[in-house]
Amino acid sequence: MPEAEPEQSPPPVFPLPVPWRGWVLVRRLSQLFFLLLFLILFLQATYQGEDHLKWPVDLFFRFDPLLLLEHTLATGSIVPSLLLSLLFVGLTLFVGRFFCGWVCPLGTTLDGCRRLLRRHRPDPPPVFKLRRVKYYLLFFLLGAAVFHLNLVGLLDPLSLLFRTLATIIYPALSYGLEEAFAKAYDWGPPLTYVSEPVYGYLKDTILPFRKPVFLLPLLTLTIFLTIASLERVAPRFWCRSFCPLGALYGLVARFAWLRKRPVKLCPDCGDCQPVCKMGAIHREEAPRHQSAECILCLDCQEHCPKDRVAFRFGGKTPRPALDLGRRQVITAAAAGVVAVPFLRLGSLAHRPDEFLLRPPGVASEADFLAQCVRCGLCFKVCPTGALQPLGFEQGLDGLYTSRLVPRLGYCEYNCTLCSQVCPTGAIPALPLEVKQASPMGTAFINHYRCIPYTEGRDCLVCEEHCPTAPKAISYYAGEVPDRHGKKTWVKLPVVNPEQCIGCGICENKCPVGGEAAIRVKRSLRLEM
Amino acid sequence: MDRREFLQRVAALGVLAGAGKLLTFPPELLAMAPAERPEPVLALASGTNYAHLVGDAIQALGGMKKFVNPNEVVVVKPNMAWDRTPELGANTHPVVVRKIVELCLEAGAKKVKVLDHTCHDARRAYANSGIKAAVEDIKDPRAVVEYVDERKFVEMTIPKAKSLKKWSFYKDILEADRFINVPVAKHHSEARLTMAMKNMMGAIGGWRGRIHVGLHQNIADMNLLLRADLTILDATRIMTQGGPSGGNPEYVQVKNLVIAGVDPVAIDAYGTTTLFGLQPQDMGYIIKGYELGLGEMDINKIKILSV
Repeated sequence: MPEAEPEQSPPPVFPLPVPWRGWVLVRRLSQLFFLLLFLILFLQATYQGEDHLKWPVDLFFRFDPLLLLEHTLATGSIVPSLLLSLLFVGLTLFVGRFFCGWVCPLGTTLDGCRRLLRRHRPDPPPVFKLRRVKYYLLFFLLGAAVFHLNLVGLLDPLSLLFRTLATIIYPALSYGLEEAFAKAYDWGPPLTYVSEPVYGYLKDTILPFRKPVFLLPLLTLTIFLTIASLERVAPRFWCRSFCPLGALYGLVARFAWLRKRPVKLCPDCGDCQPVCKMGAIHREEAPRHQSAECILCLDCQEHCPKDRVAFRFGGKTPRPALDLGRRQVITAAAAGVVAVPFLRLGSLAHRPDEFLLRPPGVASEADFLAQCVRCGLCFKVCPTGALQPLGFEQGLDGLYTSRLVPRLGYCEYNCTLCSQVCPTGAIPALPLEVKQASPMGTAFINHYRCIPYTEGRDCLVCEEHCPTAPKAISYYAGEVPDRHGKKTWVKLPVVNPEQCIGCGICENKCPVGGEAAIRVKRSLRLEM
Repeated sequence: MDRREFLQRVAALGVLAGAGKLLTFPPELLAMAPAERPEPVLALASGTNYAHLVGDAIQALGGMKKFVNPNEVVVVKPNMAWDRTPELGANTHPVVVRKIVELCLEAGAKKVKVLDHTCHDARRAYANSGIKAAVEDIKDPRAVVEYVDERKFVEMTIPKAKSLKKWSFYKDILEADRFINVPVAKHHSEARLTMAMKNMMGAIGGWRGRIHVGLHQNIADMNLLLRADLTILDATRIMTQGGPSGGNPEYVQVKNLVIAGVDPVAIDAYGTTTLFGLQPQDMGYIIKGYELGLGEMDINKIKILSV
């Protein structure tokens, strides 16, 4: 052991009482509580027999200051419901980065993954170098936001976790369970005496009404597994190195009033170092306890063999510098600004894809992109599964933003659930009558695929389902040659573009397989 | 053979079929059609108390006990396919459905299931049609409103069918001791009108849009298998345009009528003329149904018991 520096000694004899041992248990219960709350709110984000959701299913997002900051920068306007997050910022100023250690459902999930992966090695030194990356990412995001490029949803831990749950974990779980119970149902009694009541119970509680399917499953899975398996390298790798929300809380927590004592590792012990999952205290890498990194898990207090560790308010010991200089902040923010045109080149080069439809009420593609936080709440809540994550078609700009895919689902005429759950108002909360009059696109009939036009036989499924009154799809009797060349009178569907709102039920129900004979295009009314 | 004798025979046949079904479940038995055409006798009740209308019409046919025996499982199939409120006339009136369920319960039914394979999201359609709440409001554990369970669609062959030789049908309806069809009378763009026979679209699975090519024959064919013991046509209000989904109260005409009978073709033929002023000969599926022996389409041969 090297000689102790003068200011590091003496191993203090505290006149204070020994801290209470139960705090770690309380912290774990808090983590469990918030994870459960997150899951319960996730399950509640569904149609429940009434037009308005009773549960505040976007609650976690309202407490996310990163979304507030990014949204304000990107749009210049403040979403009132997001102001709740200032409460957490205030609390962080008081006690530190408690959100990451006590609340964050992704953090708790990663703690769980680490237990499964059973890692028992000291942190490799590069982990400490990577700590600053999260700050770079934060300033990069903020820099880009100034120029209306809002990428926060790609990295925000709540968005990331919710959309992973919504688009892969929950669909896989429900698919698996549905298949298992369907198999049991096929086998019949006596198995069904047990399986059917269990199935009925699950259907009433956790299973979705209809089996969800979502696009981009492999990409989503890869991202999530990468983050989870990084727990093998070092605990809370994601939180330490990449999480921009963690970075934001870290910047605030640096000035937290609550601080760990002793500030340095005791020369005669140093047990805190292997215990700390954030590497907030380390003989070489973090000689002074870094409150910007500390997530108040209190493991150090729990494990201190000499009962010296305690968290106390106040104190005058100087605080360690952040892993971040002014120069890096400017560089990262500038990189964010500079990246805007590069990331936009893809989407600037052409107008949005002809078949890229946005959720109901979205009037402007640019405004939508500046506001969507890619959380996946609308995917989860959409009763028909119409809202789907967008891939790379619009560049990184559009990745995981919400799109309407009529072949997978259609927009229910009387439903406004997506606008009720959207945490930033990217899907505007419009009165039902306004939503019903806001076009998402316009249907058009492909005469080379449509059954009456090509086969000379009646169909009209599209017209039958068209929800507007009067219907946007009407028909006239026309003569069409049948397959024998004989002219027959059939009912030929036609679209009235002035009436069509692009809900997509026609495309969804069209009996022509593969590409439907009637499809919804981005409307001329949407683009100037 | 008079009506009473016919109904007795139908009941006896039903009991026989029910007993046979307990032992085995041969698809042929389910597809068993009455050897003779059902009696084209319709009860027509008119008035503004819709629950009374239903009661009166069924009473005129001999009462619900003629159709439902104690301890039987009954499936009541209204039209509740659309996320539309009752005044828009796209779904069967909830008061009509509720009264039918109550009568089944009074007749001693062991279980009454109310279900439909919807076009809109089933949860929304069940809720906003008002039917789910109306039936659950009876507060009898024997009466249940069930969502369609995808596992229960079974593929069936219809030997006598001309076009729809094979399709998937809902097992609970095929297996039920009694099946009561409760359609609403509406305009329909392709089929022209939808009443009793067309309502069976909600008892089948598969990609239903595909049925619409050659719709008339397909409707008649599926009615070979799906034979209701009793059909009660809700014409308390009818949709005269913009069907089948409608959406504008101006499309709806109040008629204050309920028509009941066992012959679906006769009900459709009578509804076509009385409610909509068209002729049965204008309606493809009525002709096809008549040709398949499903019932009577000649208005002059249909006997009306007015109440």
